[in-house]
Order: sequence, then C-alpha cells, then structure tokens
Amino acid sequence: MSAGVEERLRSELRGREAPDEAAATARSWRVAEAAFAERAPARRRPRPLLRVGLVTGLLAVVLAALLTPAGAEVGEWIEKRIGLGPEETQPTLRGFPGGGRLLAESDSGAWVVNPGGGVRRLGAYSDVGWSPRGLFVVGTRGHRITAMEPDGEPRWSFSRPGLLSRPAWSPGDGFRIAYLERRGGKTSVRVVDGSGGVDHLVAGRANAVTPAWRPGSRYVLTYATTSGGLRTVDADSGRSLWRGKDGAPLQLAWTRDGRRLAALTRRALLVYARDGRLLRRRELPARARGLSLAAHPSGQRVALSSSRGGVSSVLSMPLGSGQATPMFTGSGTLGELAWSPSGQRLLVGWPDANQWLLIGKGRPRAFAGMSRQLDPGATGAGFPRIAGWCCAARSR
Amino acid sequence: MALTPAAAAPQRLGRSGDERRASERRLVRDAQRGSAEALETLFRREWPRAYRAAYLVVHDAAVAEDVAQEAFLAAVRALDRFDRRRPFGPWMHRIAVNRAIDVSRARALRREVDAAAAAPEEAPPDRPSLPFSDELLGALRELGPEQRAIVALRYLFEYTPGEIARALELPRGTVNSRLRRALDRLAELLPEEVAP
Repeated sequence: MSAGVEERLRSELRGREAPDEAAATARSWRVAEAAFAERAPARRRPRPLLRVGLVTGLLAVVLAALLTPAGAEVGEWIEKRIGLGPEETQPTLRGFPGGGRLLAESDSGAWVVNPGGGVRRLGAYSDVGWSPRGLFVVGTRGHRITAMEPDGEPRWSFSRPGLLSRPAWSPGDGFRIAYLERRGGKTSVRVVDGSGGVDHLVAGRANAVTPAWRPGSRYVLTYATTSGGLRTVDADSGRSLWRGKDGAPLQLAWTRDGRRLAALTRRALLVYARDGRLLRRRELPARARGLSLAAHPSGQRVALSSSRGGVSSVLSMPLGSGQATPMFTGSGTLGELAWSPSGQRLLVGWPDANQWLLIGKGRPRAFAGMSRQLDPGATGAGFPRIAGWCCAARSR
Repeated sequence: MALTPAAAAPQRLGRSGDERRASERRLVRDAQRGSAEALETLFRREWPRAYRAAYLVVHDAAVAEDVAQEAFLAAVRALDRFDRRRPFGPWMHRIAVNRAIDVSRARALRREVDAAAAAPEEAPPDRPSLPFSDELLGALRELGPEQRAIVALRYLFEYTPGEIARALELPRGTVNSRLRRALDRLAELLPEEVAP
C-alpha cells in the first residue's frame, strides 16, 4: 500500500507549489538582494608569510605606541600572538561566569549562554537584545521582529514590509521597542509597543546604528542621523529634544542613570549631558579607529575598543575627568564588548583569534574555538557576536 | 533588480549531475566576487524548494517564508567563506529543514500581530500553479515535525536515507524507521485513488 503513497508523494510534492509561493519568493528575493548589497566585500586571508610579518610588525607598532604620548594609555595586556595561549584558554564554555545570562548570535542563530556555560538556541534571529530585566529577548528575522522567552518560545511577532534590524527595548517598564526598517533604499526609525500591538514612525531617515533609550520616566530615544550626527527625540510624540553634530556615531549608549550619553565615532568618544551639551570629546590615539563601546553599569565609565595598524586595544575610559586605563591589547580586530551585570568583568569578542576574552581581575582568560561552540551542526556559522549580558536570572 | 517569475523552475534540468555541480560552483564563485546575477540564479534554483520543504514541516506559509529566507540569508552571510567544493543547494536545504524542525517544536505563539496588511506588498506575478492538496497537507499534519522533514527530504529533494541521516544528524536506521512509520501512517490517512 505504501508504494502508492510513495508515488503520490513524489508526484505531488515535486510537481506542486506551497501556498503564496510566488509572492513569498518575490519578497524573499528583495530581502536577499538587500542583504547581498549590504554585505561587506570579501576580505582576503593573510598569507602565512604576511601573517608572520603582521605578528612581527605588531610588537614594533605596540612598542612605538607605548613610547608616544598617545600610546601612553595602551599596554596593560599585550598579546603578540593571535589569541591567548593554552594556559589561559578554555576549549569549552564550561565555567562561564554567573550573575546573568549572555546573548550571542551567529549564522547558526541566536543563543543564550547560561552561567556555567550551558547554551540554548533561540532560533534563527539576528540583532537580539534583552528586555530590561532579562525576562524576554527581542530579535529580528528578515521583515519580522519577535519577542520571545529566553527559552526561544515566541510571545509575539510583528512584521513590516522592509528589512527590520537593531531592535532596542526601552529600559524601566519595557513598554517600547525601537527598531530600524530598511525599505526602498532608506532606513527609518520606528517604535512598537512592548506587546507588539501599536507601531509608529519616529524618524524617516537614520543611519544604521542601534538607537539608544534614555533611562527615565519618559520614552526618550537617541538615534544616528544621516547627516552624520545624532538626534534625541520624545519617541511617543516625535518631538525633537536636541541634536548633536559633533561626529557620526558608530555606537550609542546612555548610562544607566540617564545622565550621560556616550557616542563612539571613528575617531573619538563624545560624552553628552542629558540636555544635549557636549561635555567631553576624547580623541582616540592617532590613526586609531573606533570599534565598539560598552557603558559600565556604574554609569561612570565606558569600555571602548579601537584598532590601529592591525593592533586592537580595549580601554576603560571615564566619562568625567581622569585618565583612560588600558585593559587589553591584541593583534587583529576585536568585536563587541559586554560588561557583566555586576560590572566586574568585560567580555570581548576576538574574531581573528576565534576567542571570547574575559577581562577582570588578574590575567584575561579566553574561551577558544568560539565558531564551533555555538554551531553544533558544524554548518560553518562563523564567529558568534556578543549581543548582551543581562541581569541575574529571576522569576517574574 | 527584479525577480523574474520563473522562480520555481524545475530542478531536474536534463543535465548531468556533474554539469549542474560545475554550474553551481561557477555561480557561487561569481556571487563571491559580487555578482548579484549569479546570486539571483542560485536563489531561483534553491529558494522555492527550501520554502516548500519548510512549509511541509511547519504548515504555515509566513513561518516557512521566514525559515527559507533565513536559510538563504545565512548563505549570503557565509558566502565569502563558503567552500565551493561543497554543494550549495543541499547545504541550504539542510539549514532550512533543521530550522523548520526547531520552529515546529518551539512554536506556541500566544499572540501574533501581523502588520503586513497595513502596507500591502507588491502584487505577485500571475503564474499558473497547482498547490499542494489539502488532503495531503492534512495527512502530513498528523505526523511529527521530524517525520515531515524526512518525508520532504525524501520525496521533494529525492535524498537517499543516508543523505537524510547526514542532513538531520540522525542514525541511518532511525531515518529508515521514521520514514517507514510515516509512510504507514500516510497510507492509513490517504484514501487510495481509484482509476478513472
């Protein structure tokens, strides 16, 4: 009898279409085409001799940096190798510190890393982020934004015609989520309420930088403008509160107390007061390029990474007066940074070493082989991006 | 670039497997060098089947679209480091089917708000097509997601049980037994067709 079933399956499954196939195909091609257009050009892998030269030249660059005033802030932990050695490295995530849960994502999807190193895959989401108390996760997938439990169970899903990205959950009550929509060649800022119900446009044009919510009683949002500055608005009314035109931000972070906004540009760290006054402009060392920024939970300082001549550094930089403190220097480019919820440790992605670095008291230690750790199917999912470290797990 | 309506071109093109593989390698190479046309050809070849397979597993067109779309986006993101000696289509199908199984397992939407109606999509091109029958879909719905995935891989993609085992990371014996149980169940659910 099953021979007849097999024949029917063959003829029907191969000869027919799924519902809405033509429209779905057209929609998905638009998304794929946009993703292809935005994809960075392929980087050539350095040849072995070039790599030797890079490592040899690294010391000279770092030493030169240490001997110059601009480099005086650099040099606590200097790694001339591509990655930490076996004595400081763990081959698995076992022993990942407690005090919160980490979000990460790669081409294999989004993952939660629990204290101790247990991991759970949330699904095929990008740009994931925590809700304010770490009870939920938000992520995007093509033209859809989804709020889910930390075990991956969706709570609600919301779609728009454009490609959605960079959602940011409002602090405090978590009643708003800001996100970007790319459609027809332009990027807009939109806000949806925290239950996925009501959605509205906040700004018709913006740069592709994750918007930052200002902690406080009102829903105040800062985003990067297409004119190379930033703008702070009341997200519900759309009223502009202030603008900054001091550099194009790569990353924005309000401090937890809502008193300071840190904006990292390619060349400097900008520190704004709550009312938009530029309080400080801290230039990065000459020829260094800003990479990533993470505001410390204390609200007093930030960690920032920058790159120069194939060498990257992490600095702890006060938002007020005071000197920057070097935290780490290594070869290649560093990825995202995330403070532990207690502020005692900083997690740093190091794609060129395929490691996550944990910097706290004492020498840094590393979790190695990260491109395999969150890719059990060995699909070639690539190095996992650190997407947020939040809050000790608690019940609702 | 507009997508031409021949998106669901038949997969058996009358060429030998070697020719098809060589053509696929060229397309992947050209896409790696930045050719959107090559990427579109890969998309037209592989996306509709990934969508159908995902639909057969999740039984929801919107979710299947997300799953197939994410599988292709993963391919786009991994394009620069993709090993051209590996076949592209099966790699993407494997991602799509595994994600569809994950979604099926986790799916318990308490609330879904879809604003797509607020901003209508472009009208799809008219294209005569015959959809999967309700009878077949209803019968497949009675199977578990893993069984549906195995059926899709076997009869949509014509994978061998060994290939299915590798794609789903299951022992081959498990694939055979699940396939057998699925066929027996479908035989119970689907009435035998009477010759006209």
